[in-house]
Amino acid sequence: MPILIVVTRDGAEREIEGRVGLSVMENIRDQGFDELQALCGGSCSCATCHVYVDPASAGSVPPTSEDENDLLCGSDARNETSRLSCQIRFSTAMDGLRVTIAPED
Amino acid sequence: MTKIMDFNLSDPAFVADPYPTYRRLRDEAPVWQDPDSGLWLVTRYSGVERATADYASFSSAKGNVVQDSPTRVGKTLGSIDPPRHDELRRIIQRGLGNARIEAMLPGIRVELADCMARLADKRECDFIADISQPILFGALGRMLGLDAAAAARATELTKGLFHQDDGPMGSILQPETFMEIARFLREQLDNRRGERGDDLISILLNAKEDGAPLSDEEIVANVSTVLMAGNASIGHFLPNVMHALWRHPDQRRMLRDDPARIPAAIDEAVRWDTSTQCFARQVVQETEIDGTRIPADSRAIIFYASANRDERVIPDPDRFDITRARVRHFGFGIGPHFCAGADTARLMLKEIMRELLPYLGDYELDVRNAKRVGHIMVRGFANLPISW
Ligand code: HEM
Ligand code: FES
Repeated sequence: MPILIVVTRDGAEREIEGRVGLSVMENIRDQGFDELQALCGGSCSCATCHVYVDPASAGSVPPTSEDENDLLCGSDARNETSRLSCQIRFSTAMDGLRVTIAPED
Repeated sequence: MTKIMDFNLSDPAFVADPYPTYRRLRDEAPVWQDPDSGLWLVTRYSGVERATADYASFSSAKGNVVQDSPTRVGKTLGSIDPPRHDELRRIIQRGLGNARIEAMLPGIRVELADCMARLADKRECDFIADISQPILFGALGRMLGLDAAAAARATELTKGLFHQDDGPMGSILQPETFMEIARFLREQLDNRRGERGDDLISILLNAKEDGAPLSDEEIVANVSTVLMAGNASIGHFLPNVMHALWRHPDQRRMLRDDPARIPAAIDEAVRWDTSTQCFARQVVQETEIDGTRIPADSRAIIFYASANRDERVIPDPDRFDITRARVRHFGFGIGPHFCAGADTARLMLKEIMRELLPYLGDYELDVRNAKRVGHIMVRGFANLPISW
């Protein structure tokens, strides 16, 4: 199974087996990372699934949509690598993807 | 397994402090049918999380307040289910988007300055009528592109919201007033047929003309949600934050000394004492939740405010603590109906509190002469005497 690397807010890094077809948010939450709140459940409405995608591993990640971009604008913690993890569907091409859970606003 | 609960939801003690009752419900009957109203009360974190995610069983299609108005049901975001909900949500969310919020900030600053100028010679007033309402309605009026007269009319029309006399589970507003709000907003919409601004109504009209699937009635109904959210949600929340901080003077001082803590304080206050305590859903198919079966065609009330105090999930939940590690709570809701105005509300509150806290210093609240709102959906004050 392709690997997804998750870095939590305290800097700890953990590799998980990524389930293809689920979103990166669902993968993270299913592995019990409580600090990713994902309050709206993946409907691109809450911005509480904010992660930074490591540029070195971001090659296969599809671009940000306009709606996602709008929501991210509300976050003070946004930077150029910011994504809403519910909007990235995990695929085998993303093996090794490394994401860091963004701080809360 | 449900034990008989012997309290009465109309009890003034419940209105004054519902949290001990929520705790009893969570412990003894986490899904409980109120014998008088027939409503099913869902109070545990787990139940709230499940019910809001399972919109196929817990539908919003009959409205999300205890009794909703026909002018709104089926047209507002809060009264439709996915997939149509999600389509409409995209459109409205764009209107409420951050560019608009940032654009509101100068307006909020003007409202704040006006308010403080009016208070210059005073040392006491009613926090609701003299501070909270003028600032928030001013700001929301700008967001909707209302001129001063129209903003005053909007304030007047929504004044009775949650102040009806038919009990804590009764209607939230007179049906005629709902109709008047719809007529008023329809006029506002018609005024923007020609010239537009950058207000929410104009943005939604533009979206419609650009092909977004959205009717005039839907624009009117959803803008009425913003008016109601201004009155009920954020309008009661700002006084609740002031109340929470007054009860915890050490934390108030900490916040004044370090305004960077304001966002965390807002988040903790939304968890600890949110203004929107609960929302309704229609149970459309028999379903089991937290071990209790709810029959089809029931009305369920989902208590976000109780989930936020659930000791099963949140450590020491009754303690108000602006320094606590952030917890995942449901003060702005959860699931597809997660508050569309959460960013707007947080930004407005941050701006307002940054100015108000230093201005009001070690303010006192006269809670003995304050009146609580008497509806189960809302926690807040009808008036709140303040001195500083
Ligand atoms: C502190 C202030 C506020 C609180 C605590 C709050 C809370 C909530 C909650 C709990 C819901 C979920 C309703 C449900 O489950 O049926 C909700 C929905 C909503 N809120 Fe807020 N709200 C606030 C301010 C605002 C503001 C200022 C606006 C508009 C500018 C707004 C617009 C909305 C809308 C449009 C919905 C419906 C979303 C949907 O059904 O998709 N809210 N709010
Ligand atoms: S889970 Fe809400 S935007 Fe991703």
